[in-house]
Amino acid sequence: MVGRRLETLFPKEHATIGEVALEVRGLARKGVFSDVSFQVRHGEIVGLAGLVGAGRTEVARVLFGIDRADAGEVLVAGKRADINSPKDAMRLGIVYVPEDRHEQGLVLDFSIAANVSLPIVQKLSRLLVVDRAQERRLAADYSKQLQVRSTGVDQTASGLSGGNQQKVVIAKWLATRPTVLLLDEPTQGVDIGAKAEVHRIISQLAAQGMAIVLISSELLEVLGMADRIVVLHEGRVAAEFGRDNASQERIMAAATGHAEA
Amino acid sequence: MSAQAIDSPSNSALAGRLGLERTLTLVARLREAGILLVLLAVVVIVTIQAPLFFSVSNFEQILLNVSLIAIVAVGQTTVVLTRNVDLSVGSVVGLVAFASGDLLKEHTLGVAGAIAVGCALGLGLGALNGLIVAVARVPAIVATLGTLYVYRGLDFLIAGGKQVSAIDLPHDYLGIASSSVLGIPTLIVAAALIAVVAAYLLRNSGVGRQLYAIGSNPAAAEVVGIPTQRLIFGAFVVCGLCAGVAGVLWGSRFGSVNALAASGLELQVIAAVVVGGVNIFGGSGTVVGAVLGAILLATIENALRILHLSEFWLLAIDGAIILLAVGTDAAIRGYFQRILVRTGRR
Repeated sequence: MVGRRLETLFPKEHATIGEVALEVRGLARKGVFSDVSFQVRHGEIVGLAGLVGAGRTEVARVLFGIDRADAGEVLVAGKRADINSPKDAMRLGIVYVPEDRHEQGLVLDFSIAANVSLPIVQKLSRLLVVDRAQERRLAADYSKQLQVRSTGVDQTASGLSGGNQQKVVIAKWLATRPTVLLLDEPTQGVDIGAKAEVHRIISQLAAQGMAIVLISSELLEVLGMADRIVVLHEGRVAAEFGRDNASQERIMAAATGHAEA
Repeated sequence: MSAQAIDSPSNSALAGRLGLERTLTLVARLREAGILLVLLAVVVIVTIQAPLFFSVSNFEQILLNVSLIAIVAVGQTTVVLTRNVDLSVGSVVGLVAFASGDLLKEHTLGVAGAIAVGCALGLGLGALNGLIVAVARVPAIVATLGTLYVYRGLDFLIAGGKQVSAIDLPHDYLGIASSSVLGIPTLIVAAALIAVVAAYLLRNSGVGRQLYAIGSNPAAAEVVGIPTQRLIFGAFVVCGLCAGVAGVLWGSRFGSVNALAASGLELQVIAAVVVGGVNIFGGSGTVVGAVLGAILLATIENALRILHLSEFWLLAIDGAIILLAVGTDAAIRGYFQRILVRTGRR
């Protein structure tokens, strides 16, 4: 793959796996998925694999409060959580980087700074007015950490490349100081160089103790990044693999419904 | 805009030098500068044709004509930014104008009381629009077309062919429009104050930012936890309140109010907003632009009257300006999009 080794494409950093950050028990949404259970620990990357339509995005949407579950429960840091809106989810430290950057991720007309501050713009305001200095500082910090290539935090998001746009979306969510990061196809439509960078960022965040759910249709990405892999098939958990016993064949078999759970 | 011009290095260099900074602000400034330029051209041409046009008293007259429209345009801008529209503003102004005029005529309430009731009525009517759009999720264009007729119908119901005339109105109420602050007519000062406060808040407040985000990308706004529907409701309330303020000032400005007062005003207001560069699909534009749009249209109207041109020309020119404004917006946005993509994607 353009002369790159797998390790450079998936630079996995060592992370200490901690307490359970998010636990999902028997989660169901009628006609979409049912009896979905898994847990994610601090510092851990859990891959959600499966075919398109297996219900991965739908699970993430429920965890982020965009859609409602019909059954099951979600525990955040061991406590039962009631998530009825993205606001609830954000308050609990759960954030979601959606699949479609343009549709749901960025306000393309806004500058990088305004995009990064958008989820916390009220908190950045004093007497109604947004503290622009603080906003730019915040955006500059995250841009630096994530190595966003731009002409500055005042650059409009529409002028950024796909990879850099994705980094701005991630920066936006990091600004809310989350503990659980739901990433939905984070490297789709991103060129291969930027892909490795996004992977590096994901690893670093896990190393910092964030619990990460990585939804990806790229098997290599899931295999390269995840500590554990949960495979969904037609809205149900078909299999769960550790990093050591997972393989492309086993994941594909489970994803297509040919494996014993 | 030829393709060659876009490809030339000097243009990319320009974009680079500007640091591609705050494109939106830049576009808004360009648009506002554009309106000022057209305004200047109109003033120069008309002054050459009819020197009478160029006088302080005439300009004051133009701004007086603009003031009430500008107040309503501030509210309309707030709504349009969120990808909605309020077609009922003319009816709200009319209903509030008659209701407050009637209260003053019957001496039910003092001037301050009538003004307060009028503003509250406008706010209430705006809130009803907001409920229909944000809670019942009826598309704004249909919802407010409905309330346009309902509110006007209510106006007819309470007016019943009656009229409130200047003789019926208390002196201190009529005095509002004829008074001045530091030599500037009170109405103009009031409109300017409302526009400045709204412009400042939309540009600098967290809520203002969220309103732009809703108009620019509703799905993204929802995902970051912005209470989209609540803010849309709020925008309609603000719009109703602005129309209410214009309504209570209406009688003072024009002396008489009947059931037809301010009918068709909504089109003038929307024309001002669109000419002022507020994107009818939401997400961009400024209050300052909308007010400048109102001033431009009112100046042209005044000029045509001074030049003794027929009403037909007024409508035709207004129409041409709206088309020109929308065309320019599309061209500017397209142009910036292209150089942004060209220089930004590396």
